[in-house]
Formats: sequence, structure tokens, C-alpha cells
Amino acid sequence: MKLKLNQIIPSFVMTILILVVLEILVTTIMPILGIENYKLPFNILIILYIGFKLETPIVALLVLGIQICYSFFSIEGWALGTFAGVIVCMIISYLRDMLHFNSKFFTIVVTQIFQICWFIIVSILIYLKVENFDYILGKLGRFLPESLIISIMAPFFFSLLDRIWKINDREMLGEEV
Amino acid sequence: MKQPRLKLAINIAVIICSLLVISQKSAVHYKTSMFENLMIDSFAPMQRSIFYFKGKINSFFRHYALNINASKKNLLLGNKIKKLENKIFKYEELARENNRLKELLKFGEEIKRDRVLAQIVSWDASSDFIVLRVNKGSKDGINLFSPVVTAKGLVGHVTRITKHFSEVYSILNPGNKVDAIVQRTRSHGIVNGSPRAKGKCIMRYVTRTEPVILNDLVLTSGLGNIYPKGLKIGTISKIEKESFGTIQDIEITPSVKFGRLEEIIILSSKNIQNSQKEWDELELFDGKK
Repeated sequence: MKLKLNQIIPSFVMTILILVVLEILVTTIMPILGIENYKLPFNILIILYIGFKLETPIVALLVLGIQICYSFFSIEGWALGTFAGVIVCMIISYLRDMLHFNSKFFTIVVTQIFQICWFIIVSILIYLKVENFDYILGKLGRFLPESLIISIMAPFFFSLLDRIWKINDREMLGEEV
Repeated sequence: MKQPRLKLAINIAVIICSLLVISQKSAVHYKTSMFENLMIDSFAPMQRSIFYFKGKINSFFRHYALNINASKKNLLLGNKIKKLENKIFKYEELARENNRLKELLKFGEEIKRDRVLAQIVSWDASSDFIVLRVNKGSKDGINLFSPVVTAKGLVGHVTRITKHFSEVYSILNPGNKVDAIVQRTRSHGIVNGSPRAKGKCIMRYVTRTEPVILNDLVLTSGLGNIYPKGLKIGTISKIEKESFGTIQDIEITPSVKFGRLEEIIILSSKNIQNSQKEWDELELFDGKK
């Protein structure tokens, strides 16, 4: 959906706030529940949503903003995720016409596929940086359950973000509402 | 056409920027900017407050909600404590017994007799500690007439013996006569149990002229062939002198606290066995007569 800048800013601030709250909850509640090695990557979910549903030239800047916020809660920093996010969003922009989110199952599958893309890009960068495949294997072990949970949450989360960004799926499909 | 170009330019700029940061930044260690510091410092208290609530919730569950079995556990622990207290009591008793036995064993080192340590198993119920039963008998090398002592002094002598047990005739018995001397004045007399005063002895046949006084120590004289010389019997607690007669009656408080007696030493010797044979011979001789 094509958006103007004055529409983007309040929704983006709201999205950032949601990300902050979710990150605070994830970084505290998951260790409380004894899940210390896993962390649900809500930043990926938000970036995928931005890629899937927003048609704006500043997608890369939105990704950067999301990743900077995310970096406050992660030692990973913002750069890796920003690079992967922008590349994934570029891929999505070429495939947008094929992607529809009219069923929960399709949303889950598409989210999972692009999370895998994200993981591959990040893994390549990490490998180039540290030249250690064990680290990537370890990351893969964490990525699989994390990405599955995120994919399952995607339909509900996307409907929440739809309300924030005031996006209607039917509108995206070209129907007149 | 303007928007796709702008989008492409922004995308490329962000990608280059990211790649630059990725290539320069260490994987883990890097210096945070002021903005990052500010944001981290702002979010950290929120995270801490969640952990605080977690602590409170955990505490609630741990101390209240999950304490369903607390009363049962409490009972079990109470029983465990009682058992442990009993055990401690037993150990304390053992320690006390150990001390008493050590003290007993130190006594009479100079006496050339075998010392057999014995424990009192019963008192003669019909009298005030006149006869005691101990857990050592002939199997342990004990003979009839063996003197029985404690670290405090004389108890009596063995009067009846089985393989595993012996009976001790205490000095409180009016029939048990012990030849004694007063330590200070070396005055002779015969000590036996007092028929009037319970738990006391009487020393008889001490001449009026003997200058004995209260608290004088009375010892065995060694005469009579049963008790070795120098065993403590007790102290003089009362002196009765009549205006007539030649002797004075002396009441003695035994050194041994018969009421607290638990362990004793039996002084056994082969000579005692020989003397028993002499007695037997005499009795046989009397019988033949």
C-alpha cells in the first residue's frame, strides 16, 4: 500500500513502541521462564511486515530505524539485520504481486520462507566476518524454533500491525472497499 | 520513475552503510555511542522492574501457593528433629559415660590387682542400695570377696557370683564390717552400715580418748584380708560420746554417692581365690566337727 510520509511517521512510532515493549518482555520473561538461549526476533517480523505491505521509497530507512531500536536489546547490533532486512525487502518488492495474505496458513508459510532468506543472508555475512561455521550452526539451532514461533504468530501480529498502519488486505488485492 | 530511483538510492545507501559498519565492527566488543548509552540506560530500568515483579511473583508462588505440603513436611521435619535430638542425647550420655570411665580407670593404679570395669544393672529393691548387681561375673575373672570401688572410694565387696553377673554387698549393709582407721589420728575401728540413718555408716569400737573430729577421713586399714589398705570409706559426720563407757560411736558419710552410682571397679586377685579356698576348708572342717 502506498503511503505518504505524514501517514508513516505516527504508525512507525507506534510500531517502534510495540517493538520496544515486546523486546523488553522477550528479554525478561523468556529468561524468567528458563528459556535463556532463545529470543523471539520480533524485529524480523516487523521488517517482513514493512516489506510485505508498505510501498514507500523509505522502506530501507524504516528497516534501519527498527534495527537501531532492536540493537538496544541485542549485542548483535543494527547493521547485520539492516543489511539482511533491506535485501529481503528488495526481494519481496519484486515478488509482491505473487504474495497475498488472505489466509493464515499462507501468511505463516511466506513468513517462514523469508525468515529463511534472512537467516541465509545473515549467515553469509557472519561467515565472511568470523570464518567460523560452528557459530552459524549454533545460530541455526536457535533459529529453527524461534522462526517457527514467529511464523505462527505472524497472522495475528500482522492483523495488529494492519490496524496500526491502517492497511486493508482487500485493498491490497485490488478490491474496492 | 522518480520514486523507484529514490527507493533504490536509499536502499543502496543503507546497504553500503550497513556493510561499512559490519566490516569495521568487532563481533562482540565495540564502543557504544552516546545515543545508544542513553537508550540502553532508559530501557534497562524497565527490564529490571520486570525482573523485580518476577521475583515477587516467584516469592508468592514459592512461599504461599506451592506450600501445600508445608504442614506435612513440617511434621516430617519435626519427627526428624526429635530423632536427631535423641541421637544427640545418646551421644552426650556416651561422652559423659566416657569421662566417668576414664576417671574410674585412673583410680587405683597403685593397687596391684586386676581392675574389672562393671556397670550396675540393678539395685536390690528391698533396701537402700545395700546390694547391687553388676554386669561382670566369673567369666571376667571376678572372685568372691573381690573389693568393689569407684574413684570416690569403697563401695563394698562381691558376695554372690554367676558366670555373667555379680552381686555386691555395699558398705551400707549393717552386716558388712570393714576394718578402718581414721586417717589423721590412725584410730582403729570397725565400719558397717548404719541401721538407723539411711545411707550412712557407723564406726564402732573407737576408744573415747581418740581425738577424732568432724570431717576426719576414714580409710580401710587393710586388715580382714578383703579390702586393700588405704581405700577411702568416708568422712566423719557425727560423733556420739556417752558419759559412760569406753568407746564412742562415730557416724560416717560414705565418699561414694550411692544414689548416683553407675559404673564401678572390681579389684580382682588370685589371692582372693586362695582365701576363698581357705574359707571353704574352714567350713568343711566345721562341718566335719
